Amino acid sequence: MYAIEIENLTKKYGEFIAVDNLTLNIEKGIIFGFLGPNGAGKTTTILSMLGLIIPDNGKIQIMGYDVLKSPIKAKNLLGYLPENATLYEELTAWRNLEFFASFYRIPNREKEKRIEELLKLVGLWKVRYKRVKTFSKGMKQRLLLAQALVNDPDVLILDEPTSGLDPEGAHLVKSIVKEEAKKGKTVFFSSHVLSEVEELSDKVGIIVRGRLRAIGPLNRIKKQFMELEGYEIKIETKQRMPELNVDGVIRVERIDERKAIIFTKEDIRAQISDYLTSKGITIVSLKIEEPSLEDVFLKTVYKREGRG
Amino acid sequence: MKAEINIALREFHSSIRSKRFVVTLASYLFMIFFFTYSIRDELIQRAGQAEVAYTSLPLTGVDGNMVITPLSLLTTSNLSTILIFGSILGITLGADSINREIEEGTIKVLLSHPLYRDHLITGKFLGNALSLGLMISVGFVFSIAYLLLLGIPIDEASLIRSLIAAFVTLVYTTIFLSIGLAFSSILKRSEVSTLVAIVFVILLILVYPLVSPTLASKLVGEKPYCPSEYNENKKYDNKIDSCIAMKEWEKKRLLWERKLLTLTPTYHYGSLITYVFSGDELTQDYIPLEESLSFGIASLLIFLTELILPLALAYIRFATMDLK
Repeated sequence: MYAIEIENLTKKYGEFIAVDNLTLNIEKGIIFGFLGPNGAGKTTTILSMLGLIIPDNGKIQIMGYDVLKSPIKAKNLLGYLPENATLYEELTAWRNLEFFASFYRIPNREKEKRIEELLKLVGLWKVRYKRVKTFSKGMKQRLLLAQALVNDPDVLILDEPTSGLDPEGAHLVKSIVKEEAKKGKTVFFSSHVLSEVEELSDKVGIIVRGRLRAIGPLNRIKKQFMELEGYEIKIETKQRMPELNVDGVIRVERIDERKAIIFTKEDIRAQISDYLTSKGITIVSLKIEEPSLEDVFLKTVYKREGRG
Repeated sequence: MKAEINIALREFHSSIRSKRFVVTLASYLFMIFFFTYSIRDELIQRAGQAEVAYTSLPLTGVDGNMVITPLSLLTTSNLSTILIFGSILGITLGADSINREIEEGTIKVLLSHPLYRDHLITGKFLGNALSLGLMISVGFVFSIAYLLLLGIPIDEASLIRSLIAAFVTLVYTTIFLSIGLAFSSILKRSEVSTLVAIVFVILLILVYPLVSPTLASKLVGEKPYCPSEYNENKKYDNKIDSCIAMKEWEKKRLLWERKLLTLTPTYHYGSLITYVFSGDELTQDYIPLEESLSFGIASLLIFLTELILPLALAYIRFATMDLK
């Protein structure tokens, strides 16, 4: 059983297809980064996972529970941090968490202990009796994260979790996400910050115009990308580098007489090495230049949008 | 029911702290005090007395024989105040309660926790009804306290009937609350729905009863012609009596006017209040409660339908909408 199972999810707004036949399975205990440009369908997918948007077609299960047929069972197991939202501004931080905790069967003493732990975790313990309307955007975002954790969920869904946070706040959120994953929780998060996705994710999905364009562990996605887009092999030799007459080389970009980047269709490092050795050239380094997630993301998005 | 109660308590907590509630309550109490003070002498005069009199309830289009005691007089005198303030507070409490949560994004947070959408509507309805109940209770306690301060004794029958009237008033104000909730689920922007709701109340409570006689006249048709010899040296009433066609026309007009007024909750509210305090001219006392209330079953059913229909609309609309 997967932690999150999305099967053939489709959502249309009039003629516009926000999510187009999306199928996605997220294993338990991993951090899944959901990437896509604005309007790609990330938030629609997330809101469908919570039953806040009623899909035109498809099925979503959280820990085996259908979100539309058994919403209470599914919601009991998840925590959600929305993008651009706030909590009840007229209530204090403590009262907000107490209110949200009241929807779960948690004994009072345990509930209070949990709220105390969470407020300390997000650094809002000292301002627990202050009304949320007096909080900064970052403080509100941290309190939102605390409410998402109030039921100690098995699945954590975070929509742009570090949006509006200062570097310290962002670091705190990332460390909490990592900590939750260590405890065996599944984290599904969307983000625009590619470095954040790269840093946190065990698995990544890229959605463009409602369709899933790439999915898998980051290494695999990068490999697939290289297979599709070609390899960049960085080379440095001890002596002056001769012309590379090796099969599979598309082009060579020389940096200086000893350094170059070789663009190939496949990984032909062995052939290059053999060729240069036969010419009496000593290789200092020969490595594949891995594309960054940004390269993968931009190429995937713009290629599909016909802009690159 | 736990989820609904939690939401209701939060809603109650928020609404009684809102400026809207405080201002409405203060204005309501001021108006009650003003009206109560203006009939102070009459209240003192009527101390310990009960009299059945034909009474017309303002703004409702309803009249009937009612027992007049200091408490019933106070209750019916304050009726127009509660009609305006209760309906405005009721509708405005409901009018932005759903769409504001959607605008602020709190709805996404709330509904990500284990509760159904209908829990939210029920909770909001209950919480705001509690606020309305608080306002009505404060007004009621104020009336009782004022009478006691004047040294006017309160008879048990009037007290019980005033409590029933207070409950009817609560149901009346919750009709507007449910209309407000319907507006809130249909209209996207909270400012727009609040404005529409206020205009709706003004039209329904103040304008509609004023235009309904004219509307009824138009619906009945042209006023019949009465020969002038019938009218000579006769008063208006006699003139109608003497002209059968005119009498028939007036009868039809009144019937149409009543039919038009039955569309409003105000008419049924007035009817129920009349039944609660209805008296027998012969005994100069209250008609037994079971008997007087049995006359109001139709009004009560329409009253409840007017409460449930907008609420059902709000439920259906909210249950099927995408919460982006």
